[in-house]
Amino acid sequence: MIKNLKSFVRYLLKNKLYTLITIVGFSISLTFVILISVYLKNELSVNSSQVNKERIYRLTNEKFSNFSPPIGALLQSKFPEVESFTRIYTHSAFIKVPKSDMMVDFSSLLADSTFFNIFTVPLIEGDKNTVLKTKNSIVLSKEFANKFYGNKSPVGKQITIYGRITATITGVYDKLPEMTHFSKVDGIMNFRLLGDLWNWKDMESDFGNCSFDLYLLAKPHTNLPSKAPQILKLFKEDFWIYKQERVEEVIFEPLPEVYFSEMNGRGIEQNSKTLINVLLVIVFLILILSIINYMNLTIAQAGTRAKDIAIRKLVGSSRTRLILQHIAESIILIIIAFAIAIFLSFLAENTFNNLLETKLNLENVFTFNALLISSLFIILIGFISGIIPSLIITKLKAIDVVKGGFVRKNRAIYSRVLIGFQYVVVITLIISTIVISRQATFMINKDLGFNKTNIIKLPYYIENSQQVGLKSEIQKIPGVKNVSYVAGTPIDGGNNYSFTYKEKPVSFQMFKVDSAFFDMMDLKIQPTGVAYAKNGIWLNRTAVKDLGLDSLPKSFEEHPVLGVTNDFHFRSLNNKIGNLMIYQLDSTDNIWSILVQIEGKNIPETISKIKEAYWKFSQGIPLEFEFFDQKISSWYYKEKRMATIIKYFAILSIIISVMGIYAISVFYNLQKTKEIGIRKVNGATVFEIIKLLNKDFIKWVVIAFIIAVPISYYAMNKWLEGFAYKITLSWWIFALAGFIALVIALVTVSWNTFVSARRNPVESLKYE
Amino acid sequence: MIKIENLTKVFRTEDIETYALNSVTINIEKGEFVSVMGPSGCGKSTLLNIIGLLDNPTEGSYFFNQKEVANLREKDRTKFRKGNIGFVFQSFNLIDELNVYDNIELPLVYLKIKASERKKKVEDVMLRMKIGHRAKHFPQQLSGGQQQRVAIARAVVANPSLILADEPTGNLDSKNGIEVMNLLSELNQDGATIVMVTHSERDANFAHRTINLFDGQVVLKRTN
Repeated sequence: MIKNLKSFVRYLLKNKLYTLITIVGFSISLTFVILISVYLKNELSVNSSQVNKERIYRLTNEKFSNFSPPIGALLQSKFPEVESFTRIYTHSAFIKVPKSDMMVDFSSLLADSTFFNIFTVPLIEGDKNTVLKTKNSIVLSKEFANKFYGNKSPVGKQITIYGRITATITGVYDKLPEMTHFSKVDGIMNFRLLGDLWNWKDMESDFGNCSFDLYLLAKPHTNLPSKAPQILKLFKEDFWIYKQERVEEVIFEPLPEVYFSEMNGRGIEQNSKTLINVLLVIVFLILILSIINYMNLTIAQAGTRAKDIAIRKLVGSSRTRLILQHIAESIILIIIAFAIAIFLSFLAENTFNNLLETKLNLENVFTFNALLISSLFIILIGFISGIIPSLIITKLKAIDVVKGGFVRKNRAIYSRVLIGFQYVVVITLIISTIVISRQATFMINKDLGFNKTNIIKLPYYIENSQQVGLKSEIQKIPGVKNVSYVAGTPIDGGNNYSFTYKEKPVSFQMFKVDSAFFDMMDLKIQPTGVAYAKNGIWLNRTAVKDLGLDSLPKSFEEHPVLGVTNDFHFRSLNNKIGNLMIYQLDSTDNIWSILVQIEGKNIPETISKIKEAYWKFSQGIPLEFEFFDQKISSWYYKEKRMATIIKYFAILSIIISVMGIYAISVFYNLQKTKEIGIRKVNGATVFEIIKLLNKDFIKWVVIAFIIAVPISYYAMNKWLEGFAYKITLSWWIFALAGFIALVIALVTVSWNTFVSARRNPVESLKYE
Repeated sequence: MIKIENLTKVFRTEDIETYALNSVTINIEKGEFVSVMGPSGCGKSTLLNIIGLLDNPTEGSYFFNQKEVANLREKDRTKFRKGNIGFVFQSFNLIDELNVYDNIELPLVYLKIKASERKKKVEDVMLRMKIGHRAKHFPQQLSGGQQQRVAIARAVVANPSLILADEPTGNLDSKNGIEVMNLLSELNQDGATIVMVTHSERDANFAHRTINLFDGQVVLKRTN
């Protein structure tokens, strides 16, 4: 055994290219396997430490996950399977904190008193059964408490919200978001406080506002989801969104699935299942590529070891023993690569986190169990990588090897097939990268039908009586072109307004805007000719068409229609343009935001002047603003991130494949040395030799291209189905990917081919 | 036809200079059959490679049909070799993946001769070498003697004026060896100039004259 090992080490040292490519190839790919596996493990174990995870469900319907406040209590009263429930909402407000005149932004989760009983969130101070018992109770995060109360306990202290609502701190929790799907917030307030915050007196009995997530805790050993049909029946009788057939299903989402749900929720982080699946496929592909490289190289290289094997066979070694020896060798090689990969993954951790916007922490991952599992995994990979080459290599008859018959077998088809497979992966990934990046760019740059450049949106935190003053103050600032007060903009989508029109349920988005809005947004309006009226509205073209109105309708639902606007996008491009109704803002209306259109030059200066003006009116609330175009671009974060991830993995798979293909071309050309010599002696030019040697590799790129095109066409078509507005899969995307693969193949093999072709034929024929 | 004067070939490694050929002067007339003999390492094959334009000399001049070819670039050497020089090797040097027909056709392909003409030429030469029935066979399916006939067929198919043979019978038994030598003699009688490196006295006697090399120098020229 030791002797065999020594012979293997000598062999590795002698065949540097082989050793380098197999070990480096495996190390690189295992590095990514480690990083992605850790990421996947983190993502898949979100909420896994929740004690009640098997019993917690989020209630959704087929369209969204929001319900009105009384639904939880209704279900608990009708279905004994419901042990408790909590409604979840997020709220952000400026509060005054001790030792500071500054107002600070306080983000909170609004939850029922049962929250700490349903979810496992460790409390540093306070009792989980009572901590949210009273309406005005508030539990702070450890971070927030430490920041503003230092080492002293904040329990019993009070916090004032909006200068009018006082809440008492009843506890401090530790690490809420860690391994749960909840977003990071500064504290948790009692849900009922929302009634005070919103001046919503009948909150607990109002079915009208469906904006709140609802989590239900089922009693042990009951089957709450099986009650869905009865709940649906109940809802159809009593709950307007079901009665009016806006939605038709009752779905119980088990807690572990909420994180990957398509349905967005309140106060939670979510991840895309597609991304997870894509990553799983990528890890798998990267592993396969390295295994292929290893198998290919080992078989190609076998010629140089064939004599060793033949002699061992001649002196009586059994085939099984030789097979085991080869498998053991590949396991050793992969263990070496794995050790390097662990080291590399620590080096790459930060870069990986930055590039893919993840929060890996490898130090916590390498536990005994993890190492045990990965060791078994590595041995398995070693076994898989070793078995096929060992079967092929040891199959040869000793006499053939001595005679040199192995060389011919060595050129067999499988190594080409494996290279072809690598190219299929490379071409598919290139196509996917191009398509996904183009779709992301398309969505970011698409003409949305309104002006999105140099427009900033400020939150409206001032008294209505100061409206005019603030507007004229901002308007005076050099560089400011226009100021508009609005409730609803294309980037927040406005309010939803649903009603029955001609016996059919219709759904509208609704903006309330002042007259500056139209100019600022550069909307095209076709006037209807109706005389101006204070209650006049504008409809968009889609609404006019969808409702079957006249092309320039005079009135709609008792409102005079002043004009019809062009169709512009007021939600992300994942959605089709819907019906829109624009009202005129009234002085008593609740204003949401201030839009300021600025000139494209001296932007920082203009903004700092706006901040100053705003400061004067907002009683210390600092200005937080967002640019329209940046906000729109952030809608496509998911797609951009996916494109980035696939791009990096395409590059990685190209690197791994290129290493393998380069090494194979070296061995291939070595095997061809004699043939090259003969051809040159018989009149072949260097160019003709290069052509001959490259032809084989190019042939496989072409075959791979033919296979990759339908695969990627299908996959990308499927992916694009999720978008209402999308790019077309033009032929040139496929052609470009094929061309890139061809160039990669040529660049990879050509240098070596050139060297081989230039070699003096005398050298290759001399020693025959 | 071949006029070589003071030809020297030096092989240099990092610290050693080896004189494979040292001031060799040889003349070979058109239609001659010349054998080159000498002990291993005396420079026979180096001389043959230079005559065959596979290699350049370090010094000296080499006129082929009155044209100085000693210092041609690789590209020009290839061009000049095509159709002018045919090679026969001790180890046959056939391409394993090509059958007999394709192996013989090779020089014609690189001469860019039309397919129909190639077919005729290959069939003619196969007939002449008595290997027509083996056209579809692969080299490893043939005996050594048959392989060498294929190699000779390939060497002459383009009708070159010079045939270079490097120990053509070295890997053959005596019966096959004599057959190959008879073939070469026939080719010579048909007008081909032949330069043959050999260890065998018997083979050398087929030539018109023998040049003996020792340590890179011509030590004896003998007419058979």
